Amino acid sequence: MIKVQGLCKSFDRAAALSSLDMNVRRGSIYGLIGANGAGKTTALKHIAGVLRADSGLVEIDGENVYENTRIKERTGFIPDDLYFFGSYSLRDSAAFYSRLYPAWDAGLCARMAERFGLDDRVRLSKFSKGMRKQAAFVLAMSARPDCLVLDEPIDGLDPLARKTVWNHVVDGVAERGMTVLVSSHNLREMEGICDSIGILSKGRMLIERDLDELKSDIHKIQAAFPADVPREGRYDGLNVLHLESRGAVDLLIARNARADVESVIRRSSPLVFDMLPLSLEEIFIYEIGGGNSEIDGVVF
Amino acid sequence: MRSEVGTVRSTASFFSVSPALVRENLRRFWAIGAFGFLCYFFIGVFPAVISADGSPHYIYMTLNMVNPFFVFIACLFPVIAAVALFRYLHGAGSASVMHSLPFTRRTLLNSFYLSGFALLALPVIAAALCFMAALPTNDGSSYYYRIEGAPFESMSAGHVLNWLAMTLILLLFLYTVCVLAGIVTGSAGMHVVVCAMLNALPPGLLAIALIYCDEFLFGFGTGLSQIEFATKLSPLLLMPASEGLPGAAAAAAFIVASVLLIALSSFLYSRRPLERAGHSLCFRFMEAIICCFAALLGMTAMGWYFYAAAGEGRGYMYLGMCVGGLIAFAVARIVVKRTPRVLDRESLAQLAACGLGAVLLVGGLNFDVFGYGSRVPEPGRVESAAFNADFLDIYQHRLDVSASFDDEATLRDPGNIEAMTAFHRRVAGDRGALESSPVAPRDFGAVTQRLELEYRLLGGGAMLRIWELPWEEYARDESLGAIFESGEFKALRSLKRPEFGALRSVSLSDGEPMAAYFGQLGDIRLSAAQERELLDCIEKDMRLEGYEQFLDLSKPLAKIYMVFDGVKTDGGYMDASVNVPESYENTVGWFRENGLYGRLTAWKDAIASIELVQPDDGQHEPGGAQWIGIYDYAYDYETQVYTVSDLALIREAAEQGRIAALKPDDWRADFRFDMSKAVIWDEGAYVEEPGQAYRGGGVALTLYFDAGDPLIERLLAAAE
Repeated sequence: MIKVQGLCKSFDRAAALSSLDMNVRRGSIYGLIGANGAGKTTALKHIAGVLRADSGLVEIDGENVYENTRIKERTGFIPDDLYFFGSYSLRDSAAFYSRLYPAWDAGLCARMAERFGLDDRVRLSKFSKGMRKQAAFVLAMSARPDCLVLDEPIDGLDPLARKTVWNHVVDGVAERGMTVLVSSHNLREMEGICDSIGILSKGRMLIERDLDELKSDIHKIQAAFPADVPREGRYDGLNVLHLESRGAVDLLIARNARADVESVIRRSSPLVFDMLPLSLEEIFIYEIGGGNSEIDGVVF
Repeated sequence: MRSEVGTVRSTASFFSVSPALVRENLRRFWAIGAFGFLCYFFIGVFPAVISADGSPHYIYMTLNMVNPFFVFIACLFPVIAAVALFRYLHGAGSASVMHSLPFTRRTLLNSFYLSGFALLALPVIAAALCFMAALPTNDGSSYYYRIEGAPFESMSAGHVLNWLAMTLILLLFLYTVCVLAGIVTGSAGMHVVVCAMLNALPPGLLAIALIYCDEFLFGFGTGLSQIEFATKLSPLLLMPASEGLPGAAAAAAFIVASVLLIALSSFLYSRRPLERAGHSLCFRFMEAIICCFAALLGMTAMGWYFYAAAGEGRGYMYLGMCVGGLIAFAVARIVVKRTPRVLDRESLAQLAACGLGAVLLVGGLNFDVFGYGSRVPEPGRVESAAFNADFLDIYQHRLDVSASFDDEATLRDPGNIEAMTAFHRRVAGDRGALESSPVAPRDFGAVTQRLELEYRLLGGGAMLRIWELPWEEYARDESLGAIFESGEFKALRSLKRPEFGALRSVSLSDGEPMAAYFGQLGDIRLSAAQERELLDCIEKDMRLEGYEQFLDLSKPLAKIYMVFDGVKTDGGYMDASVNVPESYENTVGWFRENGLYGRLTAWKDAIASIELVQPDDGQHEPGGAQWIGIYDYAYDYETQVYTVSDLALIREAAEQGRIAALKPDDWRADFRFDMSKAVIWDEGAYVEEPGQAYRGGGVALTLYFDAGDPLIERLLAAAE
């Protein structure tokens, strides 16, 4: 559905994106995460057709996105920095959007506004930040896009509104096969909603996997062995990303299949063996921060 | 694939517009149009309508776009509309949202452009309809006013429509410039600044170019005056300056310019880096341009300020250029970078480039690398050569014709063209001497005189040169003498040339101001036959007049004022006055035959005394060059007046009163020559004009003497 290949973009000679590759399957919810300044917003603006790439490819359904009104009619975009016409209410904005998007669903708009508790006659400028975010979401969803690009969609929303937003997103995916690309720093919620994850670092794609696959491949392990088991060679055969010892207990992170990890550890008859999957947040911290000491305290 | 909704595409899609967006914009910004209409109505229409009979001048001003309030509105609203409409480009969020909507950039630009222009045009159209509704119906279509002696102006439907069309064109141009400014800038504040800059840019750049050319290029001149030429490049300046609606050519030029500018805007919009919303300028190359332009402006202003303040020498000018350019560049850099920390490698590189450009500009002009000043056309390539004939006649005023008459003499005779190119070659060859002369060409009003020479070349093209030349030296040039004595030139100055119709009247005087007292010659009524005889005599003397005779600066014997029917002035008239010297044999003979000669010379015997005035400002040595007779100058100070009553000496002074020589190094180079005069008084004479009677009720007669004239010493010796 969404294909980004070799995308490069520089701002004032500083590279924001460096040969970025990204693939989002139709009907999936793709979470784009990364540290501040990693290039997430820049990538999303390219996919929404806002920015012009210095080089590279940005396609939706095999068509170049930039300056493509056919694609834009089927794409909803909520930027982090919202904008509405001054003095417009949600109703006014909806009337305007209805003339731009062929699949506009006025009924859905009214239902969603009601569900969020938004008065569609009040000026949007009078809304709080969270309400403006909800209003933007209502407008984007009412266009019934095939592709929804969300930049920090739940930033500033209360838990109830966040849940409502995610419900609508899931409904859209389930009912219409909508493809969702979402960027957020709230990794716990991303973990609960996303099918795929892309971790962006310094303008490049660090990891791009299905979330389940990502989580099944990397493990947090605690193990203790009898004293006669030599320290050297205990973890031969594992891709150990991180290892530290606290007394007799080894704490390690390994990127291997669960069965492989179990096989290697049990080979040395551990006294203690505990294997936990990493949360998305932990994976992110580890992948972005690497093995430095500051990260250690966060992960373990 | 679903069809696009809300967007109309032409086949070329260049004119792609979204009606939905236009409608939305009109809805959002209706207040601009409404406020505009109120301004047009209450400033223009309403006063005109309620005082249609009482204030025709106001209507004239309004419909001719010289009403300053109207001009202000016409300039202000395009800026307001462009800044309001294109504000979405200047915020990161708004730019993102608007460009994520299903529009192409071109559609966005076209739709916003069209919306803004509609908001500007609709109020003007409504105001025009109000004007039309206010038109009087008594005579069917129009009625007329006379505006302060100007030709009739009408407030007719046609005039209103003309005003409407021209206003719309000017709004279109100004708005297009403002839109371009919005596209290249990243913030609303800079948008406003660049709107003003871009509108002033063409005339500003041209003015700067003309300033440099005028200063450094020898003989530089333009076909129009510099200011007049510059005003044609911008409606902001053109409207107040044109005293009437610009013509069809100007309108067409503005339309073409608008089309080109919108094409440029479209191109730049397609390449606008949206991520630079919030910056001062969106295109980095613009930063360099703005900084260099500011440096040019600064170096010019400061250079000429130093030049003027220091008085002479270009060293101070160059110093001022360096200082001004540096300061202006730094300020501009701070503004576009929005930080005072601009001392970096990039800034230094740009500054170095600007400096190099300035050196090339000033050096190139100073050394005349293109040979502008030394270029003289081959006579064989010249179709005609026109020059201001008053260059020759500036002091003696042998012949003055109506102010409305073009005093330019156009020579076509090959001999005259050859003579003129020879004269041109001489002036070009004297460049060094002329520029180093104490009487520099820029010292207007001393003994230099402006000479404008324009060639029309065979096969098209023109060549214009303007010099400020020491009159005494160049007026006596042999080539000019040959031209003056040629049949072609005499015909051009003839009082019987086609522009002069039938002779209406002739009046005589012995020269101002003595006519008021002595002559009363104006009361002499000549018969029609006498008038024709006198005209024939003058014409004959002018034909016979040699160049040396023509250049003689002695006080003329008489002044003859003639009025003719105007052939080309549609019922008007042409007038001419001739200062008749003693050497005009035929005319003087006619005076003698008709008993007028004695009356013309009677003033010489009527002088009772001479007053010589000495300024007492402590700066002038008695008997020194500046000591005598700086009449106007001396009057500002405590003065010492010397009175001469020796009648024989007075008579001698009256006979000899003349300018003997005007030398470039003469002290009079600092003043207009007519300030170096002895003042001769007739005590107790009849006074006609109060201004002439400030001392003893006498009538002042001014005679001109050379500063070194021995007669002055004798007058002083005889003074009481």
